[in-house]
Amino acid sequence: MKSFTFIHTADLHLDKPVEGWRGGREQLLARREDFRRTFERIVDLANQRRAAFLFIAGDLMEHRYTGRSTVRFVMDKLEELSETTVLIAPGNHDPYRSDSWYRTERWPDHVHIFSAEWEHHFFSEYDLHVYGKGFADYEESRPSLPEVREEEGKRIMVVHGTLTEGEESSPYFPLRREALAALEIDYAALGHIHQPSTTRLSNDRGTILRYPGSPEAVRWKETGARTVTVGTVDEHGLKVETVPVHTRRCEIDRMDITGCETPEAVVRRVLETITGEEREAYRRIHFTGYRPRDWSIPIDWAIGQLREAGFHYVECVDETIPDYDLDQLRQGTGVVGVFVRRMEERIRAAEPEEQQLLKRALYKGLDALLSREVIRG
Amino acid sequence: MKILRVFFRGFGRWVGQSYRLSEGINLIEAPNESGKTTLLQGMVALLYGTKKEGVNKRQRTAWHDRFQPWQGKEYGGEIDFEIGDRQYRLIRSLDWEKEREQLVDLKTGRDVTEEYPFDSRKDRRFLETHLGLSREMFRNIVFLTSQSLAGEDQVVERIRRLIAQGEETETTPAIDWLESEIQRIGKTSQARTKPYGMAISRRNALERDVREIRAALEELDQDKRRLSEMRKQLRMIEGERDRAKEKFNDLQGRLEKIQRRSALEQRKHYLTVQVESLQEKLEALAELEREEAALDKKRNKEEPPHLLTREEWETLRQLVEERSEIRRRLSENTERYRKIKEELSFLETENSWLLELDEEELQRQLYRLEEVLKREEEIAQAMEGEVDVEEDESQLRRLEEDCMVMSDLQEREDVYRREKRRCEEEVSFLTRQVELREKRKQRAQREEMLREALDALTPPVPTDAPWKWMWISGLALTVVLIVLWPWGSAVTLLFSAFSAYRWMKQRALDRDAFEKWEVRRRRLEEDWNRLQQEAKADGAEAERWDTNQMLQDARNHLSQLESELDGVLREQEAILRRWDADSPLDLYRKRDRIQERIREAEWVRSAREKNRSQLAELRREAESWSEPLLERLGPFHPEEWHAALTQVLREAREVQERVRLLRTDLETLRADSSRWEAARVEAARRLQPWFERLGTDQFSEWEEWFLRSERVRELEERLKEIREKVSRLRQLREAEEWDRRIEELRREQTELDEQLVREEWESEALDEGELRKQVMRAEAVLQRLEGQYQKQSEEVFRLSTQIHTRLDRIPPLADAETMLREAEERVVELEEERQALEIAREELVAALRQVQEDIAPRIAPHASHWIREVTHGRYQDLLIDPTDGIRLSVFVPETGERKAIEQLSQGTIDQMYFALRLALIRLFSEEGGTPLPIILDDSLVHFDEDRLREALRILGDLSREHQILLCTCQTRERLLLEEEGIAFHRVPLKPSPQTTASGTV
Repeated sequence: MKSFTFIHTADLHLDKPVEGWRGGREQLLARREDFRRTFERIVDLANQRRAAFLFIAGDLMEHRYTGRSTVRFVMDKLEELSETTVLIAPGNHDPYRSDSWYRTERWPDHVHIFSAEWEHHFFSEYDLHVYGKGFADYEESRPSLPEVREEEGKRIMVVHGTLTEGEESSPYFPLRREALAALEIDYAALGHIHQPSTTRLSNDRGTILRYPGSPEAVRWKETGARTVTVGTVDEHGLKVETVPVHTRRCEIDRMDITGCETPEAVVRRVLETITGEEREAYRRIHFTGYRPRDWSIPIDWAIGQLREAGFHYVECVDETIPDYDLDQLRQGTGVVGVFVRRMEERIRAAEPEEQQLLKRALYKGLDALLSREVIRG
Repeated sequence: MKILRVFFRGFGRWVGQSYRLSEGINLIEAPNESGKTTLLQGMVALLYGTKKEGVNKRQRTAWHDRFQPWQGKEYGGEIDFEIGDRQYRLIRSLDWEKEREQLVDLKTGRDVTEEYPFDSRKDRRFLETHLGLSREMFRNIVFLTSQSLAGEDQVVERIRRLIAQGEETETTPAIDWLESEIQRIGKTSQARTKPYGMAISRRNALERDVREIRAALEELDQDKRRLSEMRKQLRMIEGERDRAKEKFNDLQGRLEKIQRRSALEQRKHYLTVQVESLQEKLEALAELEREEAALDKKRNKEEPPHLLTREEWETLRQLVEERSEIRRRLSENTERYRKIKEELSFLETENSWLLELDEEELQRQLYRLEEVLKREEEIAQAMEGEVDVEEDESQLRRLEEDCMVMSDLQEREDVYRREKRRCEEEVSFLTRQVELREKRKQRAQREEMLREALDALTPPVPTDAPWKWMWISGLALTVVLIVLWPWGSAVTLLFSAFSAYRWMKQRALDRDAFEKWEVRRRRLEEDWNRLQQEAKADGAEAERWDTNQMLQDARNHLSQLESELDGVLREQEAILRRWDADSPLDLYRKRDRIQERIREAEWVRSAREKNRSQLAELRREAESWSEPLLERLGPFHPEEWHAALTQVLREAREVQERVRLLRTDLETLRADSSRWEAARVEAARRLQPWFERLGTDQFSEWEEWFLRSERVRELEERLKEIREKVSRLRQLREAEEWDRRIEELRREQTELDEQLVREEWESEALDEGELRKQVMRAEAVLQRLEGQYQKQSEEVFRLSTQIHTRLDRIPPLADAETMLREAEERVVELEEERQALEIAREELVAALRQVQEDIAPRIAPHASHWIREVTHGRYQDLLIDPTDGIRLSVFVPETGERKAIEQLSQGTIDQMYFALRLALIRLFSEEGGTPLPIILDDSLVHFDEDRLREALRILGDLSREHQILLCTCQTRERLLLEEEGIAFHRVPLKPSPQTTASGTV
């Protein structure tokens, strides 16, 4: 058997609308370009490693949203991988529908797209059996598994789905752990879960179930380095490693600004905390703690300052609390005291989701009553 | 609570000073800028510290740095105070970095600081714990400053706030600010200039974009599905094509094997052919050599005595032919000359009269004959028209008579019509006159009726007089009876009262009747006046004519005119019918046409007479000229003569032309014969050298020699060709080594035979023909599939291109949706912001209402009490009008009415405010369980003397329970206190070190 290397990725979601975007149209275009660069990096990695296979376990694109230029780009890039067999298992976001790009375009000859039925491909050069299947539509709750041939050689499965335990169900192609163990495959190249994870089954072959995670952050919570999985099969067996491929990271920061006397001090604190290459990432900064009650953070201004200081993209969320001593104000006999008591009563009685709004109203009222008062003396 | 002592280690100007305060009134009398306010501020600072209130984080107040000690570094001091039965000393360092506080129980001397834990600001809140008042509240309640009692315009508003909410905190600006923030965001999507409206507008626009993009993409879905299906078919066709190609390649491979074998056999055949070809060439060479010898022999035999070339023969033949031609031409000319001569002499003798004929005269004669014929025709035509003219003349006479009658009738018709119109107008006028007279008669009757009604209308007579006299007399009787018989007077008085009642009732009835009569009379008068005016407007005047008779006469005359007019019209109609005319005008036109025709007939008759005379003249002329030809022409008949003379003219012309042509031919022949004679001499001269060279003049001999010469040349040519071929073949034989080549080829043939025998060919079930057919069939299938594949590819490409083109025109959905979500979040954000502001406003208003409901009833009794006290009983009960939350009023016992506070004098309003502040202090003192001190900082300076006296008197009363610090910059307070005998303790201000140094005290 000849040894070989494979790259396993999934969930790039090319051209998916960006959730919670606040950066305007121009930066949105730049973000789109990031996703393309990431795909380009995956292709370059396959070339560098002389990978025999590139497994894309679903959600490469976003059905309905992915534009023609993006498809053209993907096809052009895959053309460069003529020495690599590319196997794509469509996911729930890019199902193998009749109006899918997978079916309306002519893909390069070395690219194979799995249909909605289980397929088996044998690569004699590597003594490798590959089983794959794609989503037929946006949801697929009926579980199924391939008929694995009782033949020698390595076995790899490429599929998009959700790992489940026991009788647990899922609309996104449930893959029962116990059933998978019975198949005795060597490596399951999975997709759907955006956080990378590896599970090793305790069967004869010690099946590795691997989610490589999204190679570029699709949501804010996908922070840190984003990777693909590189597998090597040789006489010693199967080895996997993770390789970062992201173009830009997404990071969420919580910045306590207590003690900052001015908005400028807030910006200074951010600049002191986040430096160098960290500013290249997409960052969402939550300002927390107490702030003086006579000003609030001008968010647009702060973003402008940070961008001038070299932040590639930054969003600011003001979660600070104005510095009011509610214990003292509550005890007052006048309007302020009564207002605080009433508001606190209302907050206590409210549903959790409404409490935030009521707290905001409390501080708005206090701002109106107290923040503009003239301090006598 | 009482402040007993205050010691400043350093607070502004006060450094190292100590002041003791007593119970009751403490008068601090000092001019402005001497430190009174600093002293009071210092007390507050020592009691409460200088940290900002209402915040979690320790922050200094804005005024902290302002009261840094002028000298030294110790910022702070000590303050002794009493609350209930306990006395404390509070020691504070106000230095921000080294802030420290210590509370000591003076009676026990125990440090009780630790009993008061720190709050989030690191403050122990000693005073808050005991009094329940923050520093700000303490100041607001206890301090009466000059600013707060300055008699300013807003004092009423402050009173209102005090009475309503027990504090002076202004909530309206806060509510207004919240409202303005809500307004700034915008409440509805219609306010497009505001953030909310803009956000909604942007969201809607993006929503629309996304909808449009989605719709466009959905439109494409069907095409995409079709494309997918087509691609599937394409893949199937591709598979079939590949299989067909494989089969074709297989068959072609087999065919190629067979073809290779055929090629070897062909090569063998080629070699055989090559050998045979070389042998044939050798044989051909030998044959050519044999032919060469035979031809040479034949040539020698054919050679003539003189060899004539083709050019020589051609020249010789041409000369001989020229000589023969000349001879023939000369003989022909001679013959033709003779014949022409004969014909000419014949013509000149036989047709001499035609040759001499005067052609111009003959032409004139022919013209005259044509004129004669024309005149005769005109005369005949004129005679045909004469019969019609006679008829026209009689018709014209009758018509003219009728026309005259018609003209007369038309004039009469006009006269009758004019008269009829006038008569109709007169009838119409007289009819109107008769109607008017009827109307006037009716009006006069109505006028008479109204006049009679007016005259008959008499005013109603008053009927109240008896009752009037009855009640007057009853009253008079009562007066008399009062004196005489008082009991009886009651009856008469009752009678008199009844009569008076009846009189008044009757008088009202009379007045009503009179008013009705008056209204009726006025209406009648108005009607009468209107009729009078109408009569004037009609211009009514006495009738002078019998209009009816005149109308009857006019109508009779009109009917007479109508009958006469009918008679005239009937006559006109009879005439028109007779002449079949539509109108009189048509009749006149008809008459004019007949007159015109008769005039034309007259003119034709005169022309005919003139023609006859001209005709006679022409005949004479024709007959006199034609005398010589009378024999040929016969008796005079213009048409025949014209035909005969035309024939004569044609013959004369033909004879003359023929004679001219014959003479020209004779001249031509003569010239031609002399030219041919010269040519004959020249030909004989050119033939002479040939005779001499060839020795004979026999043309047949020359011809034979030429033919033999030609054959010799052909043989020589043939010989030359053969010799060249022989030479070339000999060279080739040597160059190509035919003999050796034949040997080699034979050797190769042998080898090929051996190879064919040696090689073992796979046995083929099919022969080449069959295999070729199979290949062709496979190729056809392949081509068909290739065609299908191409066609399908093209269709796929076309649809794909179409989809791509359409897709390229659609903006990215992902971007549009991302922007839409961003816009939606912005809307939600603004809605939440607005909702928070609205809740805050709503709760603030509710809190204010709650405070008012809670505080106002508690403060009201105190307020009334102190208002009564302060105003010395002139005003009581300060109330907020419940129907109008902003109107304040006081009860004025003198008048028993309420009076709006705005109507009081400024001085009284200031008193009211003072009273309320006292009420507030009392309220909080009672609720806190300890009498709070009252601190007045120049607060009574604006009171006039009476009011000040009253205020001091009240303070004197209060001082029994409350400690009072009365700061003033004037002496009035002290003097009045002394006058009123109110006890007070004077606190002199010590000069500060700085002022001492500068000596300004």
